[in-house]
Amino acid sequence: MSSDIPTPDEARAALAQSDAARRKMAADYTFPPTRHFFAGLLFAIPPTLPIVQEPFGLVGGIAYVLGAVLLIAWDRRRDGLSITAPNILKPSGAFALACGMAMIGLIVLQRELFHAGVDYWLHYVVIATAFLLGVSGSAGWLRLFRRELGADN
Amino acid sequence: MKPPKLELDPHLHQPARLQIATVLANAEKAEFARLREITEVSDSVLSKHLSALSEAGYIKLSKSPVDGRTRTWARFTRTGRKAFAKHMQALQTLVAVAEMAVGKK
Repeated sequence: MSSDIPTPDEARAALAQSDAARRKMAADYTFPPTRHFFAGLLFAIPPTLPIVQEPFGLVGGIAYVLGAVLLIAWDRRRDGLSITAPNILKPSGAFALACGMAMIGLIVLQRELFHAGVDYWLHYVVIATAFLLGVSGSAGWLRLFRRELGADN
Repeated sequence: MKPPKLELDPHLHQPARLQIATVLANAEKAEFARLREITEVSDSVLSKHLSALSEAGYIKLSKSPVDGRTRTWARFTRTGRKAFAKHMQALQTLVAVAEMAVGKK
């Protein structure tokens, strides 16, 4: 496994090259605004499911899974990189967990509001909140991921 | 004090290969064109590096059609990921030891 041992300067240069590759990867890894919008739409689906009747619940569930698959495929095609769970959670485990918990909270809230028979506009508020959570979650994760890789902004 | 054991990997020593490995350590998969942009080497040079890493068992190459064109994707194997981590650690140790030696003078 071992090769000739480089000098400290060579080792420093190698580390700098690795760092430069990471920074370049970060600099080029961006999402268009439509991607954040699409993430928002995807996040808005789960809190909608408790208030619709079958078969719309099933249709919504299928749309959610298909949407998630499409989003991942779109990211891969646009950026030429596939970022999966370990690297998604590495820079932002707490952030992803917070988004997930907020989403569960919104679904539970929606179910409770539905059983309480509140005015319909309150359901729309919950769905709109989930949409905003999706948009800010997408933008926030991108910022954290780029920062983790060493991007300047 | 016993000097630290430095295990530098000959397969990752070349700058472009180290850059390829850096990208694959931060992403599950990377496409050929993306790796070419980051490493700034020609198609043929990148192909050679990818083949060498693949032969060493460090990466897996796969092809998938997009828009009627076949795209090549590279991903780390477990062996490759471990080798990269060890290599980076060895480089960091080497730099740290050198800096400590300078500090003692």
